Amino acid sequence: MKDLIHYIARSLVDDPDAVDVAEVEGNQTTVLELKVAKDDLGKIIGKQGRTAQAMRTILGAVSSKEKKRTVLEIIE
Amino acid sequence: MSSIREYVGKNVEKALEAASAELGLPKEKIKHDVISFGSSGIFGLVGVKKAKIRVTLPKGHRLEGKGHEGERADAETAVSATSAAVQDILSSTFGDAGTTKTETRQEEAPEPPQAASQPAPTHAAQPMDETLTAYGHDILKTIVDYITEDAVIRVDQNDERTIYNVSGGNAAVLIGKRGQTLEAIQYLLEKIINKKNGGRVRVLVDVEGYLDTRKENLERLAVRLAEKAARVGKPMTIGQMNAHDRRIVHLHLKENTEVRTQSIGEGYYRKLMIFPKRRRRGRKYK
Repeated sequence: MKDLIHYIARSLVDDPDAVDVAEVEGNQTTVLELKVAKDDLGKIIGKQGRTAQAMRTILGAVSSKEKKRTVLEIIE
Repeated sequence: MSSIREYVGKNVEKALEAASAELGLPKEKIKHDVISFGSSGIFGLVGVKKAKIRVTLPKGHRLEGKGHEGERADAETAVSATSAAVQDILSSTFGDAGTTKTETRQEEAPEPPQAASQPAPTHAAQPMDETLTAYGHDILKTIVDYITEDAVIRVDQNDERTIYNVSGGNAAVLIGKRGQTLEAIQYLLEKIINKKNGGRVRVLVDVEGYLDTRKENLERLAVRLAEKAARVGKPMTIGQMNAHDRRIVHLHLKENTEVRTQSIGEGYYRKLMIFPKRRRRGRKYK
């Protein structure tokens, strides 16, 4: 799951090396914290948050088979 | 000559039409006060009221078989007094209804259907070369593999866009609620490909013919609601659709002369409305 976000984020940004995903495990939810270069923040979030929303939707589909919720957070 | 005549109709509009037909004046020119707006009652059975308007005939307007010089001056003063009074009462009673009505009307008219604002396929069209198609395939495969196992992707190219057809695996999860997941995958894929390419290519991701099924369903729904809208004369609303879905409905009803379509609202709450077309409309409520 972490790898998926990492992979997608790397493909979207100008500076792939600055992409970092941290996984914080909780009881029922896993929080993925995505960090990117400052200039790439807009690309990750997208117009009206569309890209971020799309990633969350996909994440939802992936985590549904694991019966666990995953939340994506984008860290500035 | 100035005198008052009363007209009734199913609604104010109809009454105005009757008046305009009889007086030979365009509807906009008719000075009228609304006496009652009328109502279609409950199921059009109980409590049906006709709309009634009082038309003040303009000076010098001749109506066949009418008009005595002497009466006119009296009538005129009486009319202006009554019409002023009626206006007052009306604006206090029907004030709200009246204004909202006119507002919505004004809103409706100028904005063309949303479909027109979407990018025309011509300038977006840009054939993808093989390396790019393969790149897209790899990315899609990676994403899909996370969601479900054993999925196979077939790539098709038509003159407008590249179509990735996913089959096998758990189709339900890939599609998601109302095609949400599918849309998200397609959006991200398009974005990633365009990032690599620098240009603008269109991709389509389909899961086992889901898009066609959805299109058929939407078109059926559109036709049904359009018929209903035309029949009952009231706007119909379809909510909870993404841009692609709305586009299908807009395009499908474009040729329909009975209705016109428009999207209203923002983001998640954006709705598509189907309005019955009226042949002529008088939009002034004086």
